[in-house]
Amino acid sequence: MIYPQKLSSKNGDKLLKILLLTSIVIAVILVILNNLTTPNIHWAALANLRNYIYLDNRNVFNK
Amino acid sequence: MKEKLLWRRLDNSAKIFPMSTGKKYSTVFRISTVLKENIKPDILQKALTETLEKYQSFKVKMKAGFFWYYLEQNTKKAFVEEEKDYPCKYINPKENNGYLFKVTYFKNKVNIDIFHALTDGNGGTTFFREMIYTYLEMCYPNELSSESRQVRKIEYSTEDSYIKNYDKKAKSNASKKRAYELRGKKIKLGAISVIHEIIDLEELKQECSKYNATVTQYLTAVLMYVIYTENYKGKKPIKICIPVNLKKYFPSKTMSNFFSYITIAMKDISSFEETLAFIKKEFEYNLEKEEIIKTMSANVRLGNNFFIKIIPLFLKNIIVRLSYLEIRKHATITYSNVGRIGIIGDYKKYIDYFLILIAPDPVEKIKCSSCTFENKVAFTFTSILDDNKIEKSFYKFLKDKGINVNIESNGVLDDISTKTK
Repeated sequence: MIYPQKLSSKNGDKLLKILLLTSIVIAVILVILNNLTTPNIHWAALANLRNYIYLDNRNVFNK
Repeated sequence: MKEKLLWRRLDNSAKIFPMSTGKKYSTVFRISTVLKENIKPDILQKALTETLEKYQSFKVKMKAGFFWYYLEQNTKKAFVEEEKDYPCKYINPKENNGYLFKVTYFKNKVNIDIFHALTDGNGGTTFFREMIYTYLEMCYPNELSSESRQVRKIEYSTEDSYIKNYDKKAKSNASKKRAYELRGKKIKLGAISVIHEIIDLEELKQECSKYNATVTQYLTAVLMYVIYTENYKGKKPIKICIPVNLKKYFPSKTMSNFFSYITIAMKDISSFEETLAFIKKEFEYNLEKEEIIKTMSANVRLGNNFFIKIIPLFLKNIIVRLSYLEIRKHATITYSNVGRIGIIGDYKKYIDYFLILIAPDPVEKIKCSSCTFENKVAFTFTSILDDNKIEKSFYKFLKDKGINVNIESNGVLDDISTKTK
């Protein structure tokens, strides 16, 4: 072996699926919390947009 | 009083790199050597420091001027690190004491990742070889001494050999047609797959001699053929871009960039023999000095254009980034063969082989490179495609011809690795 051990492409895909599912769950929780606490300020939308940009930068949606 | 630091202009090719580079387009290449014993980091650090004193052209950092970027003497220390990341990644000057190269090691392998604005494959190899010589001399002082190399005086310059040798009147021969872009799902998380195919040189040469072709012509033909059979779906031609070392055409001792390129384009391929015959003809024609001057001169004229010169750097950055979105689409793949890496006799026994790698990018998703040491040709695929049909097919093609090939990889696409050889 002449390279340090890195995550294989298959394991990377699995990890990203978990990341994607977790982010969807968090997004839903944020929207519920937003509606329950400060419905006039849409901070959950901003937080979810930031989340989306982060995942996009990691090529999660890139086929 | 503040010390006045030396500075120099970027050469004609290098001007474009800092403007077009970024995390996705790193324009970094790597030279590695696999030694027969594990690396001693302390000694490697000393060897790097000593080599930098000999090659001051590497002891620089990038600075932004009003019209162009330029290189300024770097007074900070360059560090050796253990290899942790993928190869050929963007070198962030803020994390690297401003240096435009990075020396890393892993077990018995030493790497140097170089930002192309600093030098080309030829200059990089010269610096790297000197560092390895120095390292080996420090590791084995009784067996090796630098005195044996003193007769080989280090002579180099940092002149812009493009300006010295270009022809103002030469017509451009550049094709403006877009090339076929390799298709397929990309590897996620910014990973890069590396697959080295270590080919037996003697067996490869025997095969080449059947077709009266050179090793570069033969390997280009195999590459063209496997891309066509494994990935091609479309109407645009497959274009292979091959960098050419201009020091073979013009006398130059520069450590700056001094290369040009030729492009081989093919669309309808029926057999390997036909592909190779076509590529041989294209090589012969495109490698004539007149044609090389045409390509080189067109690029120099652009960099020397008065109206381009007077545009402020922040505007140049925007223009270059936008125009590069189109320019990048003019090649399907790049294949760079740096050729034989010559090592002095006594030092050879400590070295197993050399490797060269080029950074892939979102348009040229696979890049290929090769170099030769002793009887081993190390052909490397660096890829961001999540399938390795091309790499496998290339391997199978050579194996079917009776050529011995061993595989080394970084395990990202794990169905092809050292275990499968």
